[in-house]
Amino acid sequence: MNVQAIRVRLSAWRTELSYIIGLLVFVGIVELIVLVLNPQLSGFWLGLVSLLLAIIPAAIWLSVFYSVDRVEPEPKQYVIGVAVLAALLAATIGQPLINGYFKVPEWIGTDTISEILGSILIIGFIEAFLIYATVRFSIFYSSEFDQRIDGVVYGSAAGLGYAAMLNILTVVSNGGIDLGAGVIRIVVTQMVHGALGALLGYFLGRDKFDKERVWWMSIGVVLAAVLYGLYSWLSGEITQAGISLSNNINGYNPWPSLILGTVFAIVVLGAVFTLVNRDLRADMGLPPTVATTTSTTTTTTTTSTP
Amino acid sequence: MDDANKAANSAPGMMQNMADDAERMLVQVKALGKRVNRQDTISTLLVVGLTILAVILGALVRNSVVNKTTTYTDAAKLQITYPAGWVLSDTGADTGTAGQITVSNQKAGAAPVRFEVQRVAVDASTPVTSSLGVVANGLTATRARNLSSYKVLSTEAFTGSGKQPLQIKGLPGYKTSFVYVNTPNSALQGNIPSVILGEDWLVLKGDKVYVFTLHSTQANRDTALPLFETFVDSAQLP
Repeated sequence: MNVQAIRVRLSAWRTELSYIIGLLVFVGIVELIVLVLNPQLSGFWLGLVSLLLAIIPAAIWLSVFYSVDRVEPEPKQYVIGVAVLAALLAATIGQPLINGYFKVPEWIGTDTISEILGSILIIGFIEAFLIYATVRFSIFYSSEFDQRIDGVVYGSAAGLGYAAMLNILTVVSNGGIDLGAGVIRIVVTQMVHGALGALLGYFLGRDKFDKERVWWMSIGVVLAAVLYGLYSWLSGEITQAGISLSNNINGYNPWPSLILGTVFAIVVLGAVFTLVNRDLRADMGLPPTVATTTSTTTTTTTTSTP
Repeated sequence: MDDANKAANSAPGMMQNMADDAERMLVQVKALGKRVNRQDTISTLLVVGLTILAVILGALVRNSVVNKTTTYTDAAKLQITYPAGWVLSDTGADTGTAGQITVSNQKAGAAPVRFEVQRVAVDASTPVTSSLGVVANGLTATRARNLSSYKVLSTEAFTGSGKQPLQIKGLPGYKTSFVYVNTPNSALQGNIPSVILGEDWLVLKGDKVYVFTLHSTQANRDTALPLFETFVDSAQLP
């Protein structure tokens, strides 16, 4: 790994943060359009616009990871292929299991305990496993998966593909979405699944290159499932009317979920990139606690000296 | 010349040594590969097993809550039993003539199932079928004003070939099926209206007609109707 590659990977977190802001700007633009123009779409056009809204954040987020890995970029077809594969698994296994077989929406709200347990044990584990399986049984042994950070890239792609399919299925099953509230739901779904995919990808990357113990990957799946379950429960709680008394749409207020989803994504991605940076520093023999900017400059200077 | 001869003589030996080294390395790499593959396989099986275990535990959680119910008794001693986790709202049915109790699985998403109970005071001296018919007609008139595309699909006051008065909960009953178009009430529905199928089951007891109503979409009607039947059967009228 050359010095430039390391520098780019160390700046991944800052790049990531800026793209989260980009997604929020995307939400802001759509909300502004809805507020100012108040488009009255229906039928085909509502469905088409809703589908576009469902796909655009996935494309934005994929471009994030692609730009992060630009020194030694992953082949586009592989990244997109992983996303598409995850989307197919979501449509053919994930959602049919969660909504069709277990009928989770019908009983998940019975009480707090069952809601948390159901979110973790069924939704969390199924989604985490499918995202893991997408990478593990496709790109994992490829020569293109040649660095730990690639796990994060492909894991995120899988998470985003999964989320994109969830959004598309929501749009299709409802014949469209309310543009104002719907775009928030779409972006939050993307951010949360992208972050969880990155987390699983980190574990996959370590699993491949550090020859971790056999239970290492299980910890990753459990962690992702628990985090998603807790997020899902908390998101459901705070979007109910009564906690936020303004801007709600007949009892459903999407804004708190946007805040929660953003915080969740920033915290999870922050943790992932901190761990990635720590591993890189360990590889280079640098202390893990040195500030990123200083150490990067020092590394570049030192290594460039003949 | 001597050096050249020595080199020439030692070359096969060196080659042999290199070949041996390469062979040893190959064996080591193969052994490492087997160990890594075995470790990968165990790791994958652990993840698969863990996921299956988690989903089984989730199924146990599901089974423990799907048949769980909650009981509510209003001020007028009307007791209803409904699926646990559903949201209850009482807008004053205990006053005797106005308001209603509503339970719905609001968290189910875009088109929740809704059960309602309301009661209407009637003249006890009026013939049974007349009282029930009057209340049913009143509901129809109100809904025709308030709901979009409201239509009554069928009514049932008698049953069997002998035209016996319909019985619900062992009391004189009356059933109406209706349909209307629901305006969006969730962010997920957007501007897309949905067709709601409804059932009114009216029961006369004393000077009150109790109206049990089911609202559900076509998609979840098969699940909702048995729940509604249980809901009506378990209600205890004062």
